[in-house]
Amino acid sequence: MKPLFRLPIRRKLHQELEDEFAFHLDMRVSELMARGWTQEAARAEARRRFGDIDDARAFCEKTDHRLGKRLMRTEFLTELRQDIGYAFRSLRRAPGFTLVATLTLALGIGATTAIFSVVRGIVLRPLPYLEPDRLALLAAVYEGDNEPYLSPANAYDWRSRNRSFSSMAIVEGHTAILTGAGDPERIRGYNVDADYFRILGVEPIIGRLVFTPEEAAWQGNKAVVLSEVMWRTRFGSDPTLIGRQITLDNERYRVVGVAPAERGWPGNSMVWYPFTIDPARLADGRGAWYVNLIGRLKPGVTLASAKEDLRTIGLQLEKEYPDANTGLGATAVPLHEWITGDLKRPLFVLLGGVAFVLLIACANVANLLLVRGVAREGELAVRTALGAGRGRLVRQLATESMVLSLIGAAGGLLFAVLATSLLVKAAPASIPRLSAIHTDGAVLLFAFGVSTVTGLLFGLLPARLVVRRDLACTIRESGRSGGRRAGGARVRRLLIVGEVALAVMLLSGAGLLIRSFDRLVRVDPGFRTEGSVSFALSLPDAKFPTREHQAAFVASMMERLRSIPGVQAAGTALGMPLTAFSWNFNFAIAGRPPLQPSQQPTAEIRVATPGYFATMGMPIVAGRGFTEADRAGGQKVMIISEAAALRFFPGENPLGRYITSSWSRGDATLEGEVIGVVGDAKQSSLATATLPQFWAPYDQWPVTSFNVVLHSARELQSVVADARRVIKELDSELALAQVKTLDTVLAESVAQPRFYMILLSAFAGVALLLSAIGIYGVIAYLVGQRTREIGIRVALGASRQRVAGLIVREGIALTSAGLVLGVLGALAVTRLMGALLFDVAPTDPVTFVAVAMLLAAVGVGASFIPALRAAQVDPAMTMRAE
Amino acid sequence: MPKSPADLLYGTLNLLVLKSLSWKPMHGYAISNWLHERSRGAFDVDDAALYKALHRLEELGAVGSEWGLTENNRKAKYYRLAPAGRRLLKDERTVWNTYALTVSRILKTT
Repeated sequence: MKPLFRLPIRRKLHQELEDEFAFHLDMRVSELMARGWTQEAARAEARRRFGDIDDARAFCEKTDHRLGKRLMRTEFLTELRQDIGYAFRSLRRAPGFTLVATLTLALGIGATTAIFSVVRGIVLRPLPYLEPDRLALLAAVYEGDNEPYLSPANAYDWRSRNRSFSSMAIVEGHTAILTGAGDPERIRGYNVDADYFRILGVEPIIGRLVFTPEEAAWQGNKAVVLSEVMWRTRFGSDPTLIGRQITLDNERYRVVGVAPAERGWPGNSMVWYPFTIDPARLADGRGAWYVNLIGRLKPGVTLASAKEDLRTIGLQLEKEYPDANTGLGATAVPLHEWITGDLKRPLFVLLGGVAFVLLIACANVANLLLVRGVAREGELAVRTALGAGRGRLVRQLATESMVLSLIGAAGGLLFAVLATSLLVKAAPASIPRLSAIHTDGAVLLFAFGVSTVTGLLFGLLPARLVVRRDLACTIRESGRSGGRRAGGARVRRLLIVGEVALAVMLLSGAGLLIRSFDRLVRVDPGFRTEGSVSFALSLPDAKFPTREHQAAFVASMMERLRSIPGVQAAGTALGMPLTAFSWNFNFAIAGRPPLQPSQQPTAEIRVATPGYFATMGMPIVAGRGFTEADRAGGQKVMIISEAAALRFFPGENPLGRYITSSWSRGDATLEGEVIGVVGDAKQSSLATATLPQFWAPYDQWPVTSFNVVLHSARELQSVVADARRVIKELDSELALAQVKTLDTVLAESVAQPRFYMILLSAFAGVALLLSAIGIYGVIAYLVGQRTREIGIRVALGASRQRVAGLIVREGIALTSAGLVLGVLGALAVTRLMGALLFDVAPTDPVTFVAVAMLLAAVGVGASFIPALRAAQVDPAMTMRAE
Repeated sequence: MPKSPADLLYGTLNLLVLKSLSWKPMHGYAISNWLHERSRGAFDVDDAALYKALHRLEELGAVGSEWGLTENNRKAKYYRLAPAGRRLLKDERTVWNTYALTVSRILKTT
């Protein structure tokens, strides 16, 4: 069990056995010779009587070795028990030290463990599906980027032509209104292929998750699978629900099964419907991308070969359908990577940051141990004198560190559990898999591992240093306190320099995130947020089957909303700013040479009612906005964004130009004369560039899902309450969803960067505090060591300022060395943060200068108190103390 | 069936070694001589077998050992009876006596 000691022990046992046999033979020979045998004959006789000596040697060596091992093990355990008992006693004797050290460690280990449990839950933990690493998201490759949305026609072709996936299933977002079970509620759902859950490998809680062919057919039997959350909250976990019907979008659907929570994908889904499409319309919709496709790799097929397979299919389809597919490739991304890919970097940056905090905590505890070690040199010397070997002493000190670290770990784990649940609560809802974060076995193991490494890290170095000193010398000089211990002091200084360097790196990272966040929130979103609230509404197709129905409803709803007292403006639009909404269309500009559809320019297309731009505070910079006159039967019109004017009409006047597209619904086509240019509003986030947008008037291109925005000087909650009432009067089965003030929308759009910034800043703050404590501790120690020297200097006429300056200079020297190292390290490390930064270079000089100044101030501050104490040294007292 | 006392002895060597040590601690050579004398030369035990028995008993914890000096100032490994060995000796002796008694009774009746 201890290979280090094995060899000498084996050799010792062998030697002893040889000695024992030699003694026996010698005695026998002497006895025989005393009886008159010749030496030679006596030897032969002795050997004869001994019998098979080699057999005896082999046998005895084996038994001795077993015995030796057992004895060593018992001895080791006894010593360990002694050491642990001793450690506890000596820690109890120094309660101040123990408290500070364990708190520091608990903080470091706890914070690290908490962040690790987040990283594990989100990134490291496999998806909760059967063989999750065999699942992939199939994506198009368009202009070099992976595009997760496909047209159903392409998706079907990929599915039928590939030879790499055992199955594939389409997933398409679908919101619905649930009625007839309490208040109407707008819920998130997905249309999925019949064997979708079979691909994921998810088993039902009750019923079945796979749709029958009758259910999966176009206009077939209507069926749904419910999520466990919905089943429990809306239907009271009723097991007899299976086979019964519920009302979604005013139509009756038979419930066929319930899917377990946390295992449905996408995670926010409440219901799953069969995905169906009118076979007659499949072919001409190849250019409309709106479904996702997931697949399970065949056994033995690698992702790389599957990608190659898909690439070939992409090329084939490009040739076969040049209109829709030119420039469109096909590839696959592991599902896990697709879900968590964007989070890996920020989370690992946080984990790195918190590891720095832990290292700094280790350095501080190592320093404390060194100071304590010096105080205990006398005690250790006595133990050595009483026969304890150096190895034994190191082991005892290491045991003490381990005990300390394990106590720290216990506290840290408690802290981690609290911190983790706080983190999960505080984390932006846009982070996926938050519910997968638990303090599980892996997290416990991690905490234990971290504390072991920590214990060794901060414990072994001081232990070796303390023991290495000439202990006899210690006893001799233990009466005196003046002897300067260069070795320990150097190590201590190095620890501080390292600690400061780490703190600088952390502060730089945090500083960059703060600067970046500051830049981000200064970005003009392009719309007014104050005093505005929005909500989403969808109109069930069954109840509002035609465009006329939809337009009529919206017109009367807008009229009533505007008449709510205090509402200054109201508007409705498809596609709110700062949401992930993205609807693209390709178009042609009349009067320009015609292009193939796949070569045509594309832009975002959105829909708005008259008054929407005014409500949002989006300025009309040229031409006019939509009016009530822009009706379904009238002249077709469009408004374009500034970015669109710049991109598609550079140096031209876009007003009066005519836009056409192949998009049509029934007898309506998406086209119109450009009548105005509206200011840009940020789309997916403040950080991303604004894409060109085209707007159609709602009356000419009605949609069934949209957002309503109200602007009012009144308190917004009561405005929403009024709006809810007004809409209920119009139709009691409609449900308002995503009710949010625009201030909230704006805040949520920066919630993730804010979260990372706050966390990393917190780590940096803790690092700064720990470093300040560390610097203070070392300077104070050095002052203590130099009391005599200082006394002499004062006696020789040095002024108190001079003495204080001497000490502060020491602090500045340590801090500067750490600063230089830290800045170099930070320059190397912050490059990894590039993707997290907005409009700030990873080498941003402002950040680095600020960090340097902050640390210099902390360094001076932390050495100031010991310096003052040094200045008060009474020369007469120090001399006498000698 | 054992043909000579020596063969029979092999199985009961442990018992005899323990018995020898019940007087005082002894080194291997002394035990060898003790056995020779006590059996009046009848059991000429293989020394190799003796040492194997000693080391095995030590591993079992029945005997302990330490290095000491002989009267002639030579270093030798002394064995002593451990408490576990004393118990073992008592048990083995009972077994042996019962066995010997039974065997001799059977032999008498024949």
